[in-house]
Amino acid sequence: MVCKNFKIISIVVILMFAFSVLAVGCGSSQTAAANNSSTVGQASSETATADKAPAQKVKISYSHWQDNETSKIIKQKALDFTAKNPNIEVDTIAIPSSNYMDKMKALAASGELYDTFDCGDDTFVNFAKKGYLAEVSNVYTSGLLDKSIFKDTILKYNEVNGKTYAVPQTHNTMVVYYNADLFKKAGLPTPQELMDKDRWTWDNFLTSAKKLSAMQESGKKYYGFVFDPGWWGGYFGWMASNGGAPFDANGNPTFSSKETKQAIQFLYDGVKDGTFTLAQMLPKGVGLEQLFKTGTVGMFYSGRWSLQMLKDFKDFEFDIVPIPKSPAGKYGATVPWANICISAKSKNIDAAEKWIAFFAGDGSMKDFVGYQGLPASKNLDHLITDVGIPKHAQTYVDVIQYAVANATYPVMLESPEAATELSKKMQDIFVGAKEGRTNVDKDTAQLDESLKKILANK
Amino acid sequence: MKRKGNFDNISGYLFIMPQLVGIFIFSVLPLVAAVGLSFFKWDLLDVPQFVGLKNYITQFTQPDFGNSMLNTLKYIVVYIPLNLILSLGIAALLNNIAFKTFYRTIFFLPVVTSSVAVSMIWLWIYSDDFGILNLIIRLVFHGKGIGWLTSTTWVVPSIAIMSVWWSVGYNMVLFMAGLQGISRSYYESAELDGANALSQFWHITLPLLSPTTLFISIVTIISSFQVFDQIFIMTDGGPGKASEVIVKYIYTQGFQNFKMGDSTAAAVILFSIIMVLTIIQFKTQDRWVHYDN
Repeated sequence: MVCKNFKIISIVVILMFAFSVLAVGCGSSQTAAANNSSTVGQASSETATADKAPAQKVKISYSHWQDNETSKIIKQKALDFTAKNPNIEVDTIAIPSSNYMDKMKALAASGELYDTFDCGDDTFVNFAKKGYLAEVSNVYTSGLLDKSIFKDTILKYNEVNGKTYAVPQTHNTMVVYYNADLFKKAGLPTPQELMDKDRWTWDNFLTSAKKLSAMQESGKKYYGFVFDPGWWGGYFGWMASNGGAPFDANGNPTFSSKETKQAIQFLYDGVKDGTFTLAQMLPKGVGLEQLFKTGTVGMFYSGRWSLQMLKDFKDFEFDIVPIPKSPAGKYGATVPWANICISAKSKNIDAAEKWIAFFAGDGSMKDFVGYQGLPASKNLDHLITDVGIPKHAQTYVDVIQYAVANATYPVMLESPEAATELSKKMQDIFVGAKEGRTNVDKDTAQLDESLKKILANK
Repeated sequence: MKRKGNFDNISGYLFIMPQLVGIFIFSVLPLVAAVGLSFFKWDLLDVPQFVGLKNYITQFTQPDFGNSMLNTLKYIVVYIPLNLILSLGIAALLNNIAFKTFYRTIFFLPVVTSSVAVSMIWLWIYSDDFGILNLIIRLVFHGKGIGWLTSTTWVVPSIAIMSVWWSVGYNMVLFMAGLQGISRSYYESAELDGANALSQFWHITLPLLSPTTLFISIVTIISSFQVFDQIFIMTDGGPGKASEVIVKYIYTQGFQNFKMGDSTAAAVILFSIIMVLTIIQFKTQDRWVHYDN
């Protein structure tokens, strides 16, 4: 009886193994296809390029960071595109921004990347080098899109090793937002007034933030300056304004270099004495903009995306300025950027090229830019000032000359582990300031060491 | 007769076949794949490279794995005793009162609430400047408030306390079932011998509840090693790496740093730790578990 049962169990197990081998076999063939993606991509590209006008109706996919306002615009643009190209339908997929790139990486690994997708500064270089992106210079050479409309500074972020792997979507500049009414109430000159007199300096910024933080009114707590050290955008601009950089030209970490460390120390001291507040102290889900709207925040550091939530806000006057001038005599800003890529595995590269050319072109971007980014096109900067919010909206455009972009440090972009280590360690340094636990000298030296190790084992 | 027996066996195996196939595909295969992958260097994008035991050595030589284990132990030290004591205490209190079902439902409600909803509510409760806990500390005790989730000292205990609130109802229900399985005759005999309530609890309830306690302690230890949802939602392992527990570390290595080899090596180590602890509990049960047979 036991023997018979054993036989039956064996048959069941063998059947299960056979089934799983089949399943794994299917998976392997897909993985193999993914591993050869660059070849497949090239072949598809050639075929697709030869077949200039798809005779049959094709459907391509486009994934983007989810945002209610922009998602609506993108859907409309996809419909407009199909109206002009009846044989091509664009399926738009909105993905929550918090895990967007994680999802893209998982899709890339499984060979399931969408035909076209938004790519961010933290992944683009890595994807291009690993062969997951199709080369898209054909978009320009075939006349689908005029390359000369784009700003040179932005175009370079779409190239890897001299090849073009994306067309620009939008970029952003990070600036200091301030509540002008609160400054007046505190008897302080506004940052813009200080700028006009060339006195918008770290010292005056600190004095203002201290006075604003110390304001007292019926149990209300005021925040002089709020920033987010949980990502590179929160502090790279400050380092740049002091003539520092997180990495040198050879890609070695330089957080413990004099100028970079000075910038970290400046922010650290502000956090330590309670003048500056970390965004991490707010409940999750409460954006800096929401806190700003309560009228208790003097200044916060953010990108133009914050305007989405502030555009209809009229309770007090707010405006923007660059990061104040450091002792090194420079203003600062940060530039996060995004671009649009085509998967090397796309079977409809021709249609995908048409779509990204249509979407990145002035005709679409003039509607898309809205209140959330800056156009890559030289022709559209007027959109930023046309909306008239805030008063010195031109600052978003002007600060790009002081700005530092993550793309400047490809060594970090190629190592997600280095990026994670940097975010965690910097956050820890600033949180530790509040607890009197960290020390900028020691911790920046440690950060350099740990980054060096990670990058050496990349 | 024999033929009928064989037919019954085959139909039995066929009935459990879908479940077995599911377990095989979704549990056994990934487990085997994870063990295999732990000997490779793989970033999801490139072809995997065989590296032998390097990923295991890395776990024991670099500080992040140790830090995550330490944070997990901190969590366990707060969570397990609190959870067991509270759930047993509540079960004992509710065992002999009126409206038992009503109270049981109330205590069980958080268990059926999603981890995301619970975490979001507790984010507000724990908020530095806006949370109700710090409001009470400021108004009633005139204190400065505590950085429940923003202080490296408090973050793990805070999450453990929240987790106890969230899961205590589950263990309470199990303890209540165990309590109801203890025959009244033991208590009646003890009363006749003059044993007071505390003595009855210590000498009758606790020993006869030990099979339930064994089950609950195994399940609770396993679940506390696997804590992830609330940390992912509430702190993302922060501030810094102060709440980076072992499963969050596995996630970070795998899906943020794209080091699948390191991630799976850590997962295999976690699996081994849980398995060893469970074996120890089973092996030592003769000394402290008393079956009522």
